[in-house]
Amino acid sequence: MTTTKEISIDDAMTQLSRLHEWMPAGRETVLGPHMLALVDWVDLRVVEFALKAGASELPVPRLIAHSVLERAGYFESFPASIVEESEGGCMPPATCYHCYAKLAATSLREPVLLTCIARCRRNESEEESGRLQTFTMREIVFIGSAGWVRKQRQEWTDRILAFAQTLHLVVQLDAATDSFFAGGEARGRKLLQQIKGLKIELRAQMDAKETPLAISSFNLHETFFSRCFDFQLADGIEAHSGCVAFGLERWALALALTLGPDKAFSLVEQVQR
Amino acid sequence: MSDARDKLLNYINGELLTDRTRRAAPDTPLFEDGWIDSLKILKLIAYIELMIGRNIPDEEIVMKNFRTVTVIVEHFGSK
Repeated sequence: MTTTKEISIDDAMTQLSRLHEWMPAGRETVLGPHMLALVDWVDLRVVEFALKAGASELPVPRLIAHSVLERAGYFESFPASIVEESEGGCMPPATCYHCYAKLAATSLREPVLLTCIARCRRNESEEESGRLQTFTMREIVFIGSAGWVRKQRQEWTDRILAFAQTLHLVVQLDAATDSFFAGGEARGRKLLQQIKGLKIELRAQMDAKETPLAISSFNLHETFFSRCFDFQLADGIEAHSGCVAFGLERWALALALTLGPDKAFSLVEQVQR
Repeated sequence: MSDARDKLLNYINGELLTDRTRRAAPDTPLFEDGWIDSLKILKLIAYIELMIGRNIPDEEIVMKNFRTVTVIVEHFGSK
């Protein structure tokens, strides 16, 4: 069997393309049935973790209101051109904004653990293997006291790192910052994120020559979203929030390139039998 | 060293911390409890750059160099 140590990411991409499983089409990438099944397989594993941890699934609409992103301060930190506007709303640039909007102006009697999935879109100019403009993001969102949220992030980081290693992905955890912060005060937010270690990425090595690609991130928002959306803990204490995000197509790609397509696709078949 | 530390403390307590009930001491953690927000960190960095006479690259702006006033002066004051 060919492994990623013997072929470059481009060769592996070519192989997936030849199988009609990963087909660039303009600025989009079309996935074939086996890759789509692998995306679903990864998602199911994550949902299992989430439900076991006590999370509730929050169904979310396909579009998000421009006013929600505005309230979340999105356009103060990122260029507006990243967001795809369409009739009736925007394609969400991340899934978790739906959760904060849902909790707006509420008082939480106990910590909240939610999970949701959405098709997201970012009109990014950067071209990188595995970076899609439209992608599927599963998120797990936790809201509670500062200590509880921090503990959740640590537990999820440990859990998902172990999961990736079980799948034989070659991964590393790195401190990170959001890459699309604009200038001005947004630079201050980026530096605070860096100093406080608010963002950690799980990056998968696709190929020895390539920079590892982020497949998940583990984020702390402190009280940013609870202030934006005016939700708090029942006793008046400020609510903290955090989230874990999964770029599901990237997970599927990492599996296909690391294990080889046949072995990666067989993960799905093992469950179906 | 203590001159630089006092100058920086005076700046933080006099200019950055608008809540007069809060006062930073040399070893007060600066990045807990929301003392320093996204605007204040830019002002703080600009002030330190003026003090030391050079720009601080983003890679140096990490917790181990910025935890407290003492740590900042130890790290940047020696350059």
